[in-house]
Amino acid sequence: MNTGKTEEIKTSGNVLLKSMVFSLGLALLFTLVANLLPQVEGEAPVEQEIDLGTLTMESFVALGEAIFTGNGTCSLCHNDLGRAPDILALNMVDIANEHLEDERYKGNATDAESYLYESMIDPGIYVVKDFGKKGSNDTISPMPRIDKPPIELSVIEINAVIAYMQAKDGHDVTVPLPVDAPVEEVQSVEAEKSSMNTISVNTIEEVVAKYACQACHTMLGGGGDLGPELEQVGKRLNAEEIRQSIIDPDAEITEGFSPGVMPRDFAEKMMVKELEILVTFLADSKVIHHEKPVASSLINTKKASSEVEKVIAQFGCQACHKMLGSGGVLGPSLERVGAYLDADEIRQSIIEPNRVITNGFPSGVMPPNFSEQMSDAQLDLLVTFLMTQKGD
Amino acid sequence: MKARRYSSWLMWLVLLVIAVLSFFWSGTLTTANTFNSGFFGAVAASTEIPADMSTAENTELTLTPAPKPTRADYPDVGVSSRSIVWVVAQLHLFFGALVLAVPLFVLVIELLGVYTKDSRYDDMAHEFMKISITAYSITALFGGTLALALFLLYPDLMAYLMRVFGAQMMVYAILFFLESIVLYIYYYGWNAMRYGNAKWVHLSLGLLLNAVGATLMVTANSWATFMMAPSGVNEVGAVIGDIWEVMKGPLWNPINLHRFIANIAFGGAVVGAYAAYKCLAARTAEARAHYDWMGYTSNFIAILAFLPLPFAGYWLMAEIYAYSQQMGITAMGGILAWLFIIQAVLIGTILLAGNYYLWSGMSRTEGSKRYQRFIKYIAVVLVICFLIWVTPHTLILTSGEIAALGGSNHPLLGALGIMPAKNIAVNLMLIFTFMSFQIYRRSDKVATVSWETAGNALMVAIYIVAIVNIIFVGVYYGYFTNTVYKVGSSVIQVVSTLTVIISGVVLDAFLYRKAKTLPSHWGQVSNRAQYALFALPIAFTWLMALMGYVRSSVRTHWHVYTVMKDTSPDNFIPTIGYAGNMMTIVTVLFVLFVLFIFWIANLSGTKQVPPYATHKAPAAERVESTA
Amino acid sequence: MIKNLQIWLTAFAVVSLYFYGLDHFIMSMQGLPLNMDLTPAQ
Repeated sequence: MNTGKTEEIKTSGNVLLKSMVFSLGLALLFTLVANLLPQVEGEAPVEQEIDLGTLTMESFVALGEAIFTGNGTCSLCHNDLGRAPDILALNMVDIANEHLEDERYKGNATDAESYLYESMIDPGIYVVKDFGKKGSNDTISPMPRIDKPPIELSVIEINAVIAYMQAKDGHDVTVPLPVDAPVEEVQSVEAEKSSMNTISVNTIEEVVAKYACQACHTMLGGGGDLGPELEQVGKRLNAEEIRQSIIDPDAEITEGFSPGVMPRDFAEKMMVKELEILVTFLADSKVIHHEKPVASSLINTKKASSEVEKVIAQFGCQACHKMLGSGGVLGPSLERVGAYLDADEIRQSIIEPNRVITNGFPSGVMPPNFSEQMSDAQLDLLVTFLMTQKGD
Repeated sequence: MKARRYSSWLMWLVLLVIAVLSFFWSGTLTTANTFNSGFFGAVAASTEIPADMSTAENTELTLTPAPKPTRADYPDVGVSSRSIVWVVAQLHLFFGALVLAVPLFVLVIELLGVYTKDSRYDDMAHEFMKISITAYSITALFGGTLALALFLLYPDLMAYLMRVFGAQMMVYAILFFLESIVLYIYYYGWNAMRYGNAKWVHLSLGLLLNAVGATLMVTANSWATFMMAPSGVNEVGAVIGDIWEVMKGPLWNPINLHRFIANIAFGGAVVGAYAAYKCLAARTAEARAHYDWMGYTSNFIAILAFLPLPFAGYWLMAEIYAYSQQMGITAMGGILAWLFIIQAVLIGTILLAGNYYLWSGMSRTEGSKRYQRFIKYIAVVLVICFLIWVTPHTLILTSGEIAALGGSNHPLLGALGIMPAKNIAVNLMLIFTFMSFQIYRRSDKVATVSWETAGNALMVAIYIVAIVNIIFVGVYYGYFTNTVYKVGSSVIQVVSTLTVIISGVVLDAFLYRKAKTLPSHWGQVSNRAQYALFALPIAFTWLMALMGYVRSSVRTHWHVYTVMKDTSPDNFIPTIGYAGNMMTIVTVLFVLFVLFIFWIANLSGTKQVPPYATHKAPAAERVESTA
Repeated sequence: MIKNLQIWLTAFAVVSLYFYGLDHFIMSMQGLPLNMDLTPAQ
């Protein structure tokens, strides 16, 4: 390479100034481009309290539509760009029924509503043709679970979306209208308690929670000892015997235990699917698990219509006490408890159950830790309610 | 003498092994199996607890989930916390990139100096390092400020990250001691270890410096990628894996590669601005020639590193899509999609500036006249491809406009808005940039080999068939087949482009063996061309800020995606205009700091003449040195 | 002149063959086989 001579040459004017002006100008050009483009501000989901007492089916469907385009982020993929089925353009109920008929369908749903619910919480169970992950031959779904982070819709929100999908094409909405505030707020994801409204249960934990088996039986690592332990019941009984013990408890009583204790109406209350899950699980239960007991959830979501019934369902009172027209007989019936106990006595019986035992009932049976599990608000609610139970 | 030479080679070998091991350790291998075997595997296996998501709680009582701060838990200093961290973090990243990049190409240039025995390479390498040393302390300053800002403004997040990463953060801090020690010896010992065996020791130190620097980068990268795609923790953020599982998330290596390459391009661009400035301000023809050459070298480094960068970026994006399609679509098909149109503008600027510099540079040699006619065609292709790249797909329109347009996409141009068109455009832009490069390199040579015609025929055929292939594959698979073939076809395009580049380099190396060189003159270039070297770092800097913004905001309202929510007052994605303004602010600040660094570098080479000099030179005349 | 033409034709033929093979190779490596006329085989 040749180099020039070492003589002086004329330099261009103030180089610093020129280069700075040029650089700044270029940076401002980019800024201009950014400011000329459409300005859209993203919104983080905000917790919103919805007065479910005033909710109508119309507003519920509208809520579903808002969730679809808003914090549910459904429209990010479910649009006409071909990434996911274009929900807004399709008749989702008809499509759901079609998919249920598909021979590839291996899920547990039985109708359009449960199909739509299942596709949200377990998208991989059936992948619509041509929408699977690249190279997976439509066996792996790219869709995330909607009930998990980052989307994490609550059950009510999912129901609202289903309602919207049904209503938008003129079909009947089959999801129940939530008529009162649940434990968790709409659009919030503070699911600290593991209790959740479940429309249909799919896992053993959910079944056990729903029917509060652990109130009397040891299973899944915890529970009471009012009934025989079930950790290793699979060693003692076969599936048929287990099934009978659930739907006709008094037909055969295990040695050392009394008849007439276990609720007799599981046959009516349990869905076939739930019974099957339970029986299959128990028939396989031959070793002891080490998991904490699952907190019980609503016993009957369709019947639960008030705050106090939620509390009763959550803490499984009806497993042992008769109240609201049904329940077990392990503890005193509470149908008329307000007539013979005052508020303080009722409160004490809940938080310190072994202080005063009702005649004819053993001590050390009722869980002594309700004071820790229940919030003050819930306790107040329960006591107030029980005070009104005077049998008239 | 012989014994000493042997020992320095041995030291070189030992340091090489250390460097390789540190790269290995810093996780350039992507398979988990490598780390799950042997010593690391034993450690990993002993601490691993299987995460069973279906149970309500694990019995391991020491599992602590990620915190859930409420809005009130975030400290309020009166100014948007996010904007403070944004500015400080981005400046830290700019300078970090610079101080990692410069030693990389300094090492290569220094090696070149040893092989060619041309002292100008060594002097240039030394001059580059002078810039890097000042930048190093500024990097550390911003790093410390960033740490303070993060702990002050996001205490819950930082407490959680500390818990997750634990001792790894101490390793990061300790590595800085090693980096500083090696850097100071490397820079200040430059002239003391100038020749012979000592030079090899010096080179080894340079290699070690780069290895430590790369390790620092990949360590810090793991924090950022953990926040985007957490690994080694369960659903609620409790740590269930060992530190390797936490670090080696799905996005870690893509970011490592992308940042490694991008650093080089960025560093080259910044020192190119230094050279351009000095070239324009040069008072002697010799100085002008020297800095012209330096500018050319810098541009060479910047563009060379820039060419594979889109592919590294594509890999990163593909991994994001694979990890969470929702995150991927938010980035490119959702609210952040317009940012990629701005990216197109910036990359178009970079390529046009780089190409323009090469074309202008052809005036340095007379032999370039035979290639001048190609320039206008290259320019046309670049502009057309740029326009295609910049065309958006979905337009945000009012309902009236939608009715008038017949949809949310333009009937004709809408087709240009999606990836197949973009891929064609990008690949062609890279090929034609390489073409500018190739004709520039050929300008001062005349081939003397006997097979020149065949060689040139081959080269032309490769260009033409590659271009046809890229267009055909992009159009056919992109628009007329299904999604999987469309996505798969982009690999063909990448390999076609790489074929052109690699075959071009190799073919020219053989074609121009013992070639006749034509006279060329460093310094014989228009002043306008130097401004292209200012445009490069401005565009690179702004682009880095833009992409950094995309990377951070793709997490939307999560500090750690799916694991720790962001409930701070700033947990929303700002408008693109706001973001653009922030980017300009950080770019301007960066330029000001860089000016300071250049000034310091200049100042350190300035000697004031003593006032009692006996010759008739005016007092206090500054004498400039070039090293 | 003829020799030149031969050289250029050969060059184009060789390069076209290379890219044709490249297309097949890369697509099949990703599990996306092609027919002889480069149409998707799936």
